[in-house]
Amino acid sequence: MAIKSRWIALLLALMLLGSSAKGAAVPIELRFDPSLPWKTLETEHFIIVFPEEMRPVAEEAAEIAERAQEFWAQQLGYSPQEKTFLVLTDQRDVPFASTRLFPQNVIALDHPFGFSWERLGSAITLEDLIFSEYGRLVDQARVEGLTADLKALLGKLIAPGLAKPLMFREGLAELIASDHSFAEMLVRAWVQADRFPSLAQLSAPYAKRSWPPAVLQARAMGDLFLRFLKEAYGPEIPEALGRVHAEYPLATLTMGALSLAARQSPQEIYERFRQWAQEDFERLRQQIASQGGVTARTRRSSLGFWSLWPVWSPSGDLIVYYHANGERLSGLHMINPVDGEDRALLSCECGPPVWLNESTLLYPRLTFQANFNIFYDLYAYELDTGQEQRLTYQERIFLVEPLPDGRTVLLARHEKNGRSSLVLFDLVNRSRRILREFDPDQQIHSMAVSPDGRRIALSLWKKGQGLDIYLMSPWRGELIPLTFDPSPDVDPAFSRDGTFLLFASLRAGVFDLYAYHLQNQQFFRVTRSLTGSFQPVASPKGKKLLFVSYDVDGFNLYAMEYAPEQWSPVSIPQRTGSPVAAKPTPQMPRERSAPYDAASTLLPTFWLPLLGPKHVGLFTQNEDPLGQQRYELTAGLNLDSLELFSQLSYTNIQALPWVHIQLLGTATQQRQRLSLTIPFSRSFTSERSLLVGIGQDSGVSELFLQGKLADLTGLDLFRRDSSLQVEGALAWRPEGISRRLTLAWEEQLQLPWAIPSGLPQLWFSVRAAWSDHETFRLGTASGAYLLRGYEDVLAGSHLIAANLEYRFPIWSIDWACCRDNPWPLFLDDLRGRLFLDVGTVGSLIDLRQLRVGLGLELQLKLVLGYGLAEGWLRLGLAYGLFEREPQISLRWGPNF
Amino acid sequence: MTNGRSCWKNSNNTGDRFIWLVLVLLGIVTLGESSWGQLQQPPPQASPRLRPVIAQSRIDGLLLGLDLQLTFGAWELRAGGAYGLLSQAGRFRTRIQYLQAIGFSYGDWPTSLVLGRSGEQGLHLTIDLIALRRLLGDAEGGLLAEILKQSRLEGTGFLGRLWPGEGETEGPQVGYLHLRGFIHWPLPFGTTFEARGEFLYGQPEATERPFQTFFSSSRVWVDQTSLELRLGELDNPVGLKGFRFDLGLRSYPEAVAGHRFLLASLEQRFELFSGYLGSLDLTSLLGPVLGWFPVHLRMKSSVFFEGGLVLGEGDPLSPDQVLFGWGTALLLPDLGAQVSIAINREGMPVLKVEAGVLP
Repeated sequence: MAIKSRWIALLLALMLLGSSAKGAAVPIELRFDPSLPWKTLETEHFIIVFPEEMRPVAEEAAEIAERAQEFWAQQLGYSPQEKTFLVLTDQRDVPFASTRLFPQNVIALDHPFGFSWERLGSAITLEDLIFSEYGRLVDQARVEGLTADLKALLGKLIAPGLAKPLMFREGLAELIASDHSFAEMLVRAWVQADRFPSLAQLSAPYAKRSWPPAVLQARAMGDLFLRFLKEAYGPEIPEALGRVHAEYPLATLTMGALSLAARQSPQEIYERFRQWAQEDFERLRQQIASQGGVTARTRRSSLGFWSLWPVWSPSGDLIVYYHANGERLSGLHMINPVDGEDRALLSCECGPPVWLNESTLLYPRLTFQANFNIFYDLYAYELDTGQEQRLTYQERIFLVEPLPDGRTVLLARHEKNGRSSLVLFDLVNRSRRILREFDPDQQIHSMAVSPDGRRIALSLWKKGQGLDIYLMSPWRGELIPLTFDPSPDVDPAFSRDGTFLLFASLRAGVFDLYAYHLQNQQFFRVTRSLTGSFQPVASPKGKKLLFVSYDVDGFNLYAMEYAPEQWSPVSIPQRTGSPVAAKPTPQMPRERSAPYDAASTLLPTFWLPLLGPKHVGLFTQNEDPLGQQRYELTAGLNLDSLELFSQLSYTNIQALPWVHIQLLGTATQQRQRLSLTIPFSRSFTSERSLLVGIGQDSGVSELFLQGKLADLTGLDLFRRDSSLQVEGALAWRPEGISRRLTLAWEEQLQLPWAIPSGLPQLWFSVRAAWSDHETFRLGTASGAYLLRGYEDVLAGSHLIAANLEYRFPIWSIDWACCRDNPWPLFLDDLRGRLFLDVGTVGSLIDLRQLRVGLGLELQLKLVLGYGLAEGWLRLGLAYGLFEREPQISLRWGPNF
Repeated sequence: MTNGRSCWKNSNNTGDRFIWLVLVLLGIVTLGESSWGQLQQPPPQASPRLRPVIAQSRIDGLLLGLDLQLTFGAWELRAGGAYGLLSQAGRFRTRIQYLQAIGFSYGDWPTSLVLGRSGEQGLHLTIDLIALRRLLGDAEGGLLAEILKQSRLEGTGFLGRLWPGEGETEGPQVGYLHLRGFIHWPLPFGTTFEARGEFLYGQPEATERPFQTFFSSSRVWVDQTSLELRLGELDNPVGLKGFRFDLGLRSYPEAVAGHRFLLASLEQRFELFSGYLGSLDLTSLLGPVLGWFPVHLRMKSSVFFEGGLVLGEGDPLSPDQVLFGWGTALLLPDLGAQVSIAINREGMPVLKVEAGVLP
């Protein structure tokens, strides 16, 4: 029995290994600017990597990271032996965190000063980020018993925590967060709508069309589920779950770890959790009922997901808001409040929009800059002409508010080193005046300008104090605190007559709207919600109040009567005593910092044995934490010829152009290839790159040039992805110089008619190839040149092939077998495609020799082993014109 | 058609390529001015205006000269002269135009509306029918006005002598009527329809038998994708020399030489670069009005597939009359130029540099 378990464990380890290798095969995503002066600070368990200008943050992070290590070592009883790289950078205006175990432990935090928009009213501090990301890393890296033995043998390939059900992977790190309001909001909405996800739907990432996305769903539910387990089954349960997963990886595949840790079947535990959540919801409902019930409101938007930042036009005739949804292109939408018509205005990754006048919108927009930075800049959009104009360049403007003079706007701007500032910007002569600067311990969350332009309201985060509302004047930078308490207060907005300042606050367990009478200095509660209300804005005529509220479809726009007489007066306790002093940052000794050296981090971290009937060998790869250098190495012995073989691939992107080297040596083949890539431009909507290289293969030298262009255009549901790849090559052969030209043009149109199971697509591709020496093959069901429906494959030096596919969703299944004992086999989607292939190949292009194939393919997407692997089971029927029999194919693999 | 278009194949004629290079450099300077107004306020367009003439013809080789433009209210007067480096001959043209609608010109200049002819000497009467319609006050709004805003319809009558073609000592005395139109029709969803057509009916003095051509091109643009269909037919019973279509495919080194053709092409363009390169300040030399040359550069790349049929007079369709090609190109819209590499169905790679071919 023990032997059997060990074999199964080994099988699992190899499965993990395959998954990891697959993930690592993705080309390097350049995230860190190699031209920055990168430094390192080394502590007992961490190496902090940072640009020199972020030294103060790095020193603070070093101290926090060691505390995080101590905390998680206590909580989970495990600490990784190898050091963890903690990369800090400031290349984005939106905070970003990522953690990876393979091939090294790397936590990357980008712009770790501010907030995550996802949390709306919550501040994510550097401490929150490091504790949660490191907890995630420790949990996934944990090995015990057999897995520890395997790790000692094979290195970092073994990480059984990666196979944990998604809910546990995502939930553990959330468990220690100080604020659970976001997760509670999601779960209450599910309870309210009776749409609790199944246990299987929380176990693996999958393509989910409805709100929320699968990972967010698992994170929110995992947060509360683990809290429930601690309450119901004992505080040691999260640690026990991690230990069982690390020690008995097989238990992962059947949710058995939960049974082993909690001594009850997964379904019974989950049912108890559902009741627990319902009781919590019922308590809140009764509490609100005793206060007068949920405030009456009318839903004004229908798209859900992230429908945020509504603003009325000055006349009150239109509402503009920002909408983001994985299926639609993000951008600004416009609603006619009379008939409710909602139409997309423009595509953008935008911040909150404002109206400058009846026909002009201003908004911050994210753009790529210099290939590395993703910063906000100020843009204007003219409704009459549909023209967009960029007003600033590389100024990192993330908030804008117009002043009543019609030509001045108040801007919130990110400065260097986590600082931020308020700037008055004259739109006519483009002059700027800094109103106030804030140090990194103070971050602007949201802001508003009073109708008379004499007051500015800020939601400001202060280290050690949280988010509070402050007032200041546009002429003087002095801050006057309005709320000063532990509850987060955000989204200030003035009423149209300037009497009230509205804001959202988390005071009674739920985010709700509150108001402050500026003359009477009296606070009022404006809404009572079960799930949450944010971002209030009063209508220009002063009769309606528009705001964002959460429901089971996501965030939507809601409206209610603007009736101050119905608001309930409340007292908001002011924090007594002096503000909590920020903890002084311990200074790390200067001599322990050093310039970043990518090469020193590249020693192999694992060895994968390669065993075949005719060869034995080893494979390894590594990449430095900043992704500047990367290699893959294979070496082995051919058992037939007893000759050694080796293959090395190395990439260096420390400077332009990026260098890529490939060396292959076997008994029969010697191949070398050196290429240089110049990434001309990269943005959210386009990519331009050029690659030039030389190579040698078995005595034939080749010079090649490749160009790649890709564009994304569209609006809302309609999306068009175009790409072109051209390659030209000259080869020097003994018989003379030969040439090659290949071309691939692809168009993918996402058609703008949504059906419950998804969106249909039209895909079109034309490929051509020519060479005066080489041949190309046409007639396969996969590969570069598709021609389905024919049994034989044609080859020739001139090729042209075109493919047209109509891809349509059939059924969004989202189902796992089996309910009482969930399997790691998740059926995600069923799709179909109708295709038409046309092509010819030969010594010349003879259009009369065109081959035409057509057919149908059914595709079933499967997620295996809690997201370890996913792929498509494809059953195809293709018929070639003038062929006797149709071709039937059944394949398993990634989509194309 | 041949007018307004120069085409150099990738031949061994380094002289041609040198000339082309000179033209490109000078073209950057001169044509860059046209797109400047979109980004910055241009200097005021004052009368008189002096523009350089840089052209190329089979007989004259490189032509260098000057064009002078004078405006008097609704009247516009143009006069230009140039010197052909190869022919060592002087050329001239004069034109008087009223409200940019009706023009009368006389000249001896290396362009002709007759296929295959490199120049002509004589009198032209040109009427811009859309401008004339506007002049007559018929300017209601609506869809028609929207279409006509960017469309042209022009008729030209000529009396005079064509320059001699190859093998001729003297060109024929002819009269012809030429009608050409261009329609630009913006459609919903970013789609645009463009159509152009030309019709020429002429008669040499020595015979009563006419020669005529018809050419039509229709193109649909969807964003940066275009599908173009071209067809043409000519009738040359008088045996006018060189009277043939000179409109080819990018993948064929030789121009289309038949009496009838039907060609189609599918093209997708990608924006590569768009930017302002700088300004050439020659105000000390040419004054504040003429001496300021902002230079912009826009670059695009494209992929294209093309095919069609070409028939000689009375020919049955044979396999070698079926054309097909594909390739990729670098486009310089500011200069109206493109450099393309294309492969035809026989596998012959063709590198082509063309100017004056982009819309």
